[in-house]
Amino acid sequence: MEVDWGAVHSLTVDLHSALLLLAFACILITLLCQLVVYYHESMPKSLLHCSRRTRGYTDATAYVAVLLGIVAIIISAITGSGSESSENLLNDPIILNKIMLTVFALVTWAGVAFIRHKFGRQLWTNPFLSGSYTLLAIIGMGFIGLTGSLGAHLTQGESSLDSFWNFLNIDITQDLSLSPEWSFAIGLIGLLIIVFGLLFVRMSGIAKEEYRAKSSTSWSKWEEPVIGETEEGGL
Amino acid sequence: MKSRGLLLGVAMLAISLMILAAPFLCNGPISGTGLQNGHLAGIFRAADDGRSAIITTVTSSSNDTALAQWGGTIIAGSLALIALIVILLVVAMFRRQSKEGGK
Repeated sequence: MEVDWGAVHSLTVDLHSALLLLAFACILITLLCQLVVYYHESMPKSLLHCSRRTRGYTDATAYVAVLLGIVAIIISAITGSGSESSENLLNDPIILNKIMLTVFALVTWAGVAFIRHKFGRQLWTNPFLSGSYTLLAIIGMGFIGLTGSLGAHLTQGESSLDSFWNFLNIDITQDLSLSPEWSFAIGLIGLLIIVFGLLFVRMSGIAKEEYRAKSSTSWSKWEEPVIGETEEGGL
Repeated sequence: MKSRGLLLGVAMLAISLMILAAPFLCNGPISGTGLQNGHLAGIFRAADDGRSAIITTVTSSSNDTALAQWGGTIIAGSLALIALIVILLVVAMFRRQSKEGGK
């Protein structure tokens, strides 16, 4: 029996889109709940109660959905490869752009998963880190949406995001690859930032608990979202 | 906790080995199979002469310059995104609230 990879790809694309959309929605809801709890004095009691009860669940759901979504993207990439001829895979500009955006989406969502894994629920106690986490989720969701738009172009010849492409004045039927010089410059600057950033963190020890104690600073400003939280904020 | 660290280490090692092995798999022992025409092959196809896609992109000496440019863009874009994540994390660590002034 011959497998119709196009049909399988449609299923897996829906799977990763749904999982990452769930993660994106849960991250946004958690951020909103954190804001409601922080500004509790000016918020209605019912909203505050709802936020306290919800945020622990949405945070955990987002983490699981991101991890499953990353696995689903990889499966989608494999089924997508099978659904197109090798000639198209390496020559069709829309498919090349689609693969490129898929890689960017994968990297961004991997970053989201890394931050949640590294800092755990405590990431929500730091407003800047919470904002960064949400920003990455927005960027990741943007890449997923744009990739989906290219997929719609392949199958339907048009997409509901065409107005966005027109607004940016980008012709997605053309190869969006950068020139070698730009690629080299961006890659080199990115690599330098990564290396020196990690070296700086390592040498300064700002990630360690001892540094926080020594510098009399605290990571926390917002409360940690916990599953099973009561109205008063305890367990 | 130790077993989780070990598991993560093994996973990272496996991923690193896969990335390192990709060009050889695409151009070497299983050349001619479906993998040769897959995504990884697209990125590494310019590595026929043993150099990485980004180096080939820079020197522009590949026969398949367009594909090498595409691979270079993917690598550069990915590095830029990782750099953005590193910047956000470093800034977040600096922006701690004082114990006295914090809520």
